[in-house]
Parts: sequence; structure tokens; C-alpha cells
Amino acid sequence: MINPVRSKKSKISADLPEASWTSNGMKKLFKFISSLVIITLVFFAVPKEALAAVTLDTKLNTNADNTVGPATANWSFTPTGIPTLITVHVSSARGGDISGITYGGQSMTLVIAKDDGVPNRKARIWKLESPPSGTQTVEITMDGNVAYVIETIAWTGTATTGATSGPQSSGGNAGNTSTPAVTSATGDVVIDTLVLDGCGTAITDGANQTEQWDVDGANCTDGYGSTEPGGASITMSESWAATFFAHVAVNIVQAVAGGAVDIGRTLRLFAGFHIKIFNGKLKIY
Amino acid sequence: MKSVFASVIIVIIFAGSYFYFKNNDSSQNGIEFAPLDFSKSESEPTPSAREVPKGAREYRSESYEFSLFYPEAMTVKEFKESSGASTVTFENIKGAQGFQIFITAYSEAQVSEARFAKDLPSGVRLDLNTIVVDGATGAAFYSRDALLGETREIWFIHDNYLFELTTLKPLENLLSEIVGTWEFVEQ
Repeated sequence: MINPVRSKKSKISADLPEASWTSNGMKKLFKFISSLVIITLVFFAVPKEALAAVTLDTKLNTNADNTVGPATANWSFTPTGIPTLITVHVSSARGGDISGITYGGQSMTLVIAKDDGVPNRKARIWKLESPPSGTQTVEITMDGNVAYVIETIAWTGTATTGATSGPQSSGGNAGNTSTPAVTSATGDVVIDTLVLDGCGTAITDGANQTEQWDVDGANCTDGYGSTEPGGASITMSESWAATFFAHVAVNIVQAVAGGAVDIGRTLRLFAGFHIKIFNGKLKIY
Repeated sequence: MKSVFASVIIVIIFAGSYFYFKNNDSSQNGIEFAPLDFSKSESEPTPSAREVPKGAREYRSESYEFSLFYPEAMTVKEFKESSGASTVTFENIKGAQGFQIFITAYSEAQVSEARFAKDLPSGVRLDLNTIVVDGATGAAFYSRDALLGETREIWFIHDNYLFELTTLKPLENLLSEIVGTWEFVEQ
């Protein structure tokens, strides 16, 4: 016989009608399950690494025609926010080239370069990751005569190392379209830089692209650039009346919240397995 | 009631696991396989125009523009890393064979000491030799990893990407054979 005092069920049964017990029990169970579901969804469904969005913070165009041979030129640039990346986009012409760029006294890195077929028109993208904040001087060094259209851009929300990826280019003597495809990712931004021997040639962007600058510089040096939100593969399409051209594009990589971005290589080989050499024979289990 | 409760918990765990792994799916968009069709391989060219050796498969990356042959018993997995980097593993656990390729954007002409330090926490670089992989000059050396033990490393730079191939030291000959099939492909 069940002791109604020691038996919990018997005691409850003795205190409450059967229907009430079932109802309360089901309510508790429902609340418990609901809580578990919510916790589970929050824990599992939210991405482990929230990503910061890449944002074009500030841009500035500079153009000039240097015909005195090797020379330097500089200008002041003031980002609105605290930039995580500076890119300098060069569209140039004449025989010389821009051999170096500094930002706030720090050397920038050439990401991608492309010439037309002559070569005369040159498209370049330079970068500096984790740049100094506040107003800084951009200085270019030219190794000869250079007519240039240069866009200086400050970015926020980018990775602070490995902030660019997947550079692509095309160029030629008589093209009227260029479509480099850049590997990218959602949350990244792809930017391109085009130079034409154009004297004001009209340029048409591809779908989803936003024009960022379009400047007809000296010596018929047309400089142009656009951006497009990132995706698996982004084709930066530009078209114009046929002429000499050089076109470069690169992916701007978004930051991982918390700043842990490029932590270096992860060895994923045989992850989760044991490795042993037994009697001179490799065993993996 | 207990069985109902247990069933609900199991369903929740499975659902949670699904969401977890869905969100951690590291497959790299843009990388495509070109699996070998053995019924055609000996008489007809593959779509990539590379003749795949018997017992092998072709791995072709459109994003990083290379192709290689690997033993067909290996399973290929792709992971998207931070900073736009990628890792591809080729593993045959039962056969105790495998290697991985780590690919990251890299604009320098040579691998910097900072990059070596970042990717080789042990700092071990032994018997460093210069190698050429389909025209790309790189370095082959031995290293050490806390989990893998002694490793064989082949690193090279091509078209603004750094490629780091890694295997266990006992598998260095296998890696050499596979590297010998490496070709950069123009899109």
C-alpha cells in the first residue's frame, strides 16, 4: 500500500483534483519546453562571430598633371571616423608611374596594378591597414611624368590585417567593357578603379554598383571608381566607348567583432583524430 | 510523461545541432570540384582538359585558379577562414593519408617573418629549400605542430595569394607527388 504522506504523487493526488494536476503539470512542462527552445535557438542560431559592416567613411579626389619628371606631391586627408583601412585608388597616364605612397608617414602597400597595352594608362590600388587616425598627409612619389586622378578613401569596419582580398584586373588597347570577378562575402564591399584614355568618355556601371567618383583629369586621364556590396562572387562591370583602359578591383574584408580577424593559419588536417606511429606505420584514429 | 519529455529534449537537441552546424558551415563559395568520371577518363577529356590519372580525382578552384590531382580515396572539405582566407583538407583517415591547403590573400613578393611567425607558432623551420610549383617559387621545409607533430610544409605565392600546403612528415612523399600535379589555371 502506498503511504499517502511519503508518496509525492499520492499526496498531490490527495490534495488536488486529477484534472487540475494535469493542467498545472502541462503548463509547467510547456513553460519549461518553451524556455529550452528559446535558449536553444539563441545559443545555436545566433552566429558565433558577429561581423562588423564595412563602411566607406570618407573619400577625397585629387588630380593633377606632373610634367617635370620625378617628383612628389601631397595633400591632407581627414577621415570622419576612426579608419581601420585607407585605400588610395590611382588612375594615371603618361610614361611615369607612382612608385610609392605614404599615409601619415607610413608606407602603403600596393594591392593590385594593371596597365593598358601600351603601357600608358595605369590603374592601381594601394592600402594601409590600421592607419593613424585624424588628419594625415598623403604623399605620392612619381618616377616620371604622371597625369593622375587619385581617390583617397577611409574605411571603417574592415579587418585590420588581411583587409583586402581577391584582387582582379583587366586591361587592353581597345576594349569597351571590363568585368573582373572578385571573390567576396556578405558584409564585405568590393571596389574597383578604372582608367580610360577617354577625355570625358561616359562610363556605365553594372547592376548593384554605386559610382564613387568620376573625374576627367588632365591628358585625357579618366578616373572612375565604384563599389558593390559583397557576395560570393562580385563582377565589377564597366562599359564605355572603346579605348585604352586598365581596370582593377578588390574585396574589402569586414572585421570580426572583437578584433580577432587574421589569427593566422588553422591546422585543420586530421582535426579530432589521434595520430600515432606504431611499428613505423602511421596510424590515424 | 517522461517519454514525451525525453522526446521533446531529443528533438530540441537535434534542432539545435542543425542550427549550430548550419551557422558554422564553412564551405567556401566559388570553389568547385571537378570529380572524375572514370567511365570517360580514359577515352575522353575531362571538362578541365586535364587528363586525370587512374585512381585520382581533380580538385579545381575557380576562385584561386589552380588545379591538382589527389587520391580518390581522400575526402575533401573546404573551410572559410577569417580575412577571406580558405582552408581545404584532403583526408583519408582509414588510409592514414592527408594534407591541407591554406590560402590567404598576400600582396608581398616574399613571405615575411611576421607571416611565418603568425602561421607557425612553433617557430620551427628546418631544412629550408627553394622549390618551384608550376612556375611559382616557394619554400619547402619541416616544421612542428603541437597536435600534428612533425610536419612537411610547402609554401608559395602566386597572383597575390599565399598557398601553404601542410602534411605530416611521414607523408612528405605523397605531398610532393600531389604538388607535382599542381597547375595554375587561367579563367
